Amino acid sequence: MTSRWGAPDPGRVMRWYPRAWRHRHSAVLLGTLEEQAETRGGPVLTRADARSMRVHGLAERLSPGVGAGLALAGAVALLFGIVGLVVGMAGAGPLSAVPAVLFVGVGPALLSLSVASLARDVGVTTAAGTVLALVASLVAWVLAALASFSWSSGFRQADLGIERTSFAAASPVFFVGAIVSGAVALAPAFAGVLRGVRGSSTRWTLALVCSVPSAVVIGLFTLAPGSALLPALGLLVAWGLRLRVREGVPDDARTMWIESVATQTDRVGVALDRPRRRLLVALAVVTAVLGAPFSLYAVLGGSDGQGLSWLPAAWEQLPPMNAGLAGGALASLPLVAAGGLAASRRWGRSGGVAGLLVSVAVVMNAVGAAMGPSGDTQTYGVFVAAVLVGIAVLLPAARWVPGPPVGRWAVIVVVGVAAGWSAGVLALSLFPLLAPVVAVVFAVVAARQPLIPRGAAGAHQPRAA
Amino acid sequence: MTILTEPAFWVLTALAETPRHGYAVLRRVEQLNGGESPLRITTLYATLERLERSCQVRVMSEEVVDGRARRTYDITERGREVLSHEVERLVVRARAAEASLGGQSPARGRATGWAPA
Repeated sequence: MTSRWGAPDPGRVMRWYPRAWRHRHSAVLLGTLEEQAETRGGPVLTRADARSMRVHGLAERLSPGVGAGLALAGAVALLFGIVGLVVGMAGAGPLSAVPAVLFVGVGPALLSLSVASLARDVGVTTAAGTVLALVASLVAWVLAALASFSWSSGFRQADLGIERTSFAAASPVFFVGAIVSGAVALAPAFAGVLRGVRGSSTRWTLALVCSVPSAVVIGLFTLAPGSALLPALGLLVAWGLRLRVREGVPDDARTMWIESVATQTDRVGVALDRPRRRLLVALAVVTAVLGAPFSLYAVLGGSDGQGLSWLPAAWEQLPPMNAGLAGGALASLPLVAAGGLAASRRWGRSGGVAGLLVSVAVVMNAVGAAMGPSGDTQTYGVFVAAVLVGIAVLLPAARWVPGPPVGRWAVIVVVGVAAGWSAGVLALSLFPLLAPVVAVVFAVVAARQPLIPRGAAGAHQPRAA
Repeated sequence: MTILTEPAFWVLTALAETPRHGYAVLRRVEQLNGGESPLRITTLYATLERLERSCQVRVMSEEVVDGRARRTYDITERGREVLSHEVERLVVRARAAEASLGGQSPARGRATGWAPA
């Protein structure tokens, strides 16, 4: 990488930059280097300049466009990994490790690189910090994957009662190595955030102090089941980077847009006309009245062996918990309908669609509970219902996502799927039990909503998201 | 929200006076820092590219002078706004610090480094 005279050759060092960057800037940059050399004397390119060019060249290669591609690839790898792990499609064959490698190693590594690209583009990290984060995060995820496999291997060997191999025994070393590398990868970002702290040694010490626990949390979160939010995070990063590529840095436009959304949200009042307010309260009361016995039966029904005498005889065959959950879910439908009506008043069409999706999920949940523990069909049904809830909850948020409609709806759906997958099952399981309490609260809140003055009804029509 | 980094601050400051080409920006920043530049040429062009993409500077002209390519940049209205906002923020901080010191600022009267927030 040096010329015959020992000084670095600018033309060769320039190749560290991406082609597009070279095409646009290389002539001007070389001209400036020559001008500087002429003024100061000495070679056109010092070794320090060459080092700096290599670092900047590498960092420029992690452009927002490349980062968006990496984020997308990371999200796809994570999704394949999750699906593979959940349905066990690889079985015990030679491909059995592929989902785990995608989920623990490849996906998070690609995602980390895309986040590094975003951090560089918004100015949180310098070029050197970006390159450091890039290298260290790759090392960290390789070590994290090794730690995971080594741990599993040791577990399996312990189950079989055979002596642990040296690979299985090395999991603590891989784990510590992953944490240290992860902390090094995160440190430039923290140092960037803490740039207001005077003194670089203090700043970097603080950055490392923040980085170590963060690396542990990120590592454990990635390995934990239910981390389906990661692919969604990948898509969010990809979306953010694509917007930056397409629109430059649209701070002005974004600010104006946020202001317009805020104004629009303020304009959409929560005031109700009298019949609608009565309807909401009535629906909630129905759920409270019908749902309470089911909740009690689900929780206490098995204690005295007595069922609910007014239920069809077929329900007597179900375990009390299943019967209570199924009945409670059906009894919660009026509350869901009331919620959908209130949401459509507040957020327009997306609120109504959200209510409809939750209703479908609740019915699916009721059917699943009524079928009893019937294996895979019920399991998949619960997950589908949970995903519907995740999407429903996020639908009204679509108006706050920047960008063209197709993109923001895609973001909402993907994040909704991930949220539903991660937390929806728990929410759906608890909802039939808690619906009566929620219904009482809802009824009180609805009854206290202000009424639209006579003659002004329809003045505040929300816009569809 | 785009963060105004230290290089971006100095580049905008140099261009706020008058349009300049790359090396002239470097020299001006050097003068403003009492002879020591916080910018390398590599950082300068990375910064200029980012500022151009975020519409804070724009290319005014490109020419060849003495066989060397030269590109002259100018600050945009948006760049001036961003710089003004940063100046206001720094002034508030400086006044607060000055008030804490009872008006005896050790930094007053000599060139000082700039610590970005």
